[in-house]
Amino acid sequence: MARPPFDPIAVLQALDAEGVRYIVVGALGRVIQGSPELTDGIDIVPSMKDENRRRLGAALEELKARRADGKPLKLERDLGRQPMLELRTTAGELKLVPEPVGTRQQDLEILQTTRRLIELDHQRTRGRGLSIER
Amino acid sequence: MEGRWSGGAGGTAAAGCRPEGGSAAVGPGGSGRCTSLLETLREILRACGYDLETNLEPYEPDKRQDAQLDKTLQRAPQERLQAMLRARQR
Repeated sequence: MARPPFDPIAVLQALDAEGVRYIVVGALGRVIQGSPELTDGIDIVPSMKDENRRRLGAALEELKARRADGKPLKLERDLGRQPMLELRTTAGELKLVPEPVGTRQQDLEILQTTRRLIELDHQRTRGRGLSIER
Repeated sequence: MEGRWSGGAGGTAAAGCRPEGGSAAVGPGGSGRCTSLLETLREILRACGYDLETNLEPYEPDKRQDAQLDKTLQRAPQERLQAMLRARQR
């Protein structure tokens, strides 16, 4: 059976274009870390700060995101109401996981800052960033 | 530092205890502890009403898988992602 269309780079670019702060988790996170597995979707943990929610909303509009269950998407209402918000976008499946089990939002803020530090260090030491090029 | 460790979860076993087995058995920072991290973890878990069971199992590293993982780890993150996307197309 053919796999559904999936363009994680387009999703990441849309998020980055709006300056969304997030962490990639789940199977795609493991693939980036070196796990030899296949996935059809991208799971992210977004920062839940107000400004970031606004940016996330803009990125989701760009990706024409809609809820996987067919209900209308109202990000302010839906995000955080359930452990995971499953979306379909023009670039494939996107899951928003506001607070993965076993974590706290404040830990995630630290991780997001750390991620940026690693990116900057990577750029400085290797002359190229973690940005994904087509 | 020693006092802080002694007051912690591993404190009772740690007090005045110095192993003869060399530095490898001594806790981080040369604090003189001889309580293993596993034992400390068990004490913490027991304080929470849980216990940790440990079993010995034969260890048989999968050399083929290790070689595959080594190869993957030599790639940059974006190359790992591209490889996964190519594999999806097959």
